[in-house]
Amino acid sequence: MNGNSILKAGVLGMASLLFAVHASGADKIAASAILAELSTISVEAQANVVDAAATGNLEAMAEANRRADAVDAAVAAGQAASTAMDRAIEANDQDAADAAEDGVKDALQMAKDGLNGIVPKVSATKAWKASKKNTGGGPADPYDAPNMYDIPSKTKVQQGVAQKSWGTLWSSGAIGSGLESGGFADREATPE
Amino acid sequence: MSRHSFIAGLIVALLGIGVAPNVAKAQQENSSSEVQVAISAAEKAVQKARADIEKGKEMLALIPEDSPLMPDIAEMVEAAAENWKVAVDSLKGAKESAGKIESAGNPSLAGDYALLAKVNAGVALSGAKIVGMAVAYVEAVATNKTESLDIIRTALRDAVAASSQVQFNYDRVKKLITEKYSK
Repeated sequence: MNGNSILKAGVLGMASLLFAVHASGADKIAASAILAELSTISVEAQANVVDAAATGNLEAMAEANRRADAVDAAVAAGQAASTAMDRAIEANDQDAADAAEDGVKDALQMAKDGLNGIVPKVSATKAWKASKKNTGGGPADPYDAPNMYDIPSKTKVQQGVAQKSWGTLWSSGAIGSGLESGGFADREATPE
Repeated sequence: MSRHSFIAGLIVALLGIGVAPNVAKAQQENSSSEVQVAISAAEKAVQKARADIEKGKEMLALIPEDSPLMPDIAEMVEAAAENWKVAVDSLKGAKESAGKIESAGNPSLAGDYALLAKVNAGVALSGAKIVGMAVAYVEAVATNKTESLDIIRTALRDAVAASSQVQFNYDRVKKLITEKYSK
């Protein structure tokens, strides 16, 4: 056995080792199996809601509904990740496909946790902020001004200009607080 | 320098050749035990559904024929009958696939049989759960627990939709595995 053949064997060994540790990238079959498992968990969560309803215990019903909602959220996240994975595979984007596959696996864990009552708590501050965010036609008032800080820009310079323009417009507006503002808010009190 | 490369190559080759079958075997054993857990859960659910059906028959006899909820009950009984058949057939299929894991020629094929068995066990479990939910509705009507009817009806509809997703994904898994081996 000469040096070259040993090296070749080494490369083959490394390849088989890598294959054994991480068999192929994003796997559509495994992802579909996980989606099936997610939906099975969803059925189990709804069955628990029915069991709780049959007892007539309001606390048990509220808890079962809370868990079922958490499972539903996980199912939706899993389906979104699976769709993203299919698109990434079609676009030959291996990294994005792997990331999306991780998303599907995370969703499964979320669903299992949700079924067992481990539901992440959303802080009151975060919930309030989320309820106030203008999502463009969502729960917020459709006449809300767009938040320049939430609008994605192509470049940092473009974003900076847009934000500065917005700041100027805001401070000069009827309800702005700047010195040049014609509005009423946060202005110095007049002598009279 | 080249001597070191030879030694490193040799070590990696030995490691790779030695570790790969062990990792594959460990993965196979792990998936086999997962399949057994899934089948066992499905079996329990099917047994419970069988007992629920007997209970449902007794409850059905208590409901007057002119009950205004009879159309709803007919819908529930239909859902239970369809899902009972799905549960029994899928459990049988899951056991058949699980039986082929050991005799599969290679780890990849064994893994695919394990996956098929696990997903099919999920189909059986969800079908059996729906039977139990439909019977719970009949029981609530028979025992005049009308306050829980809306909750059960909504939960059952959501569960039927989720169950159809389980079956859809089972069909998808089966199709993708078939395509894999027909290339």
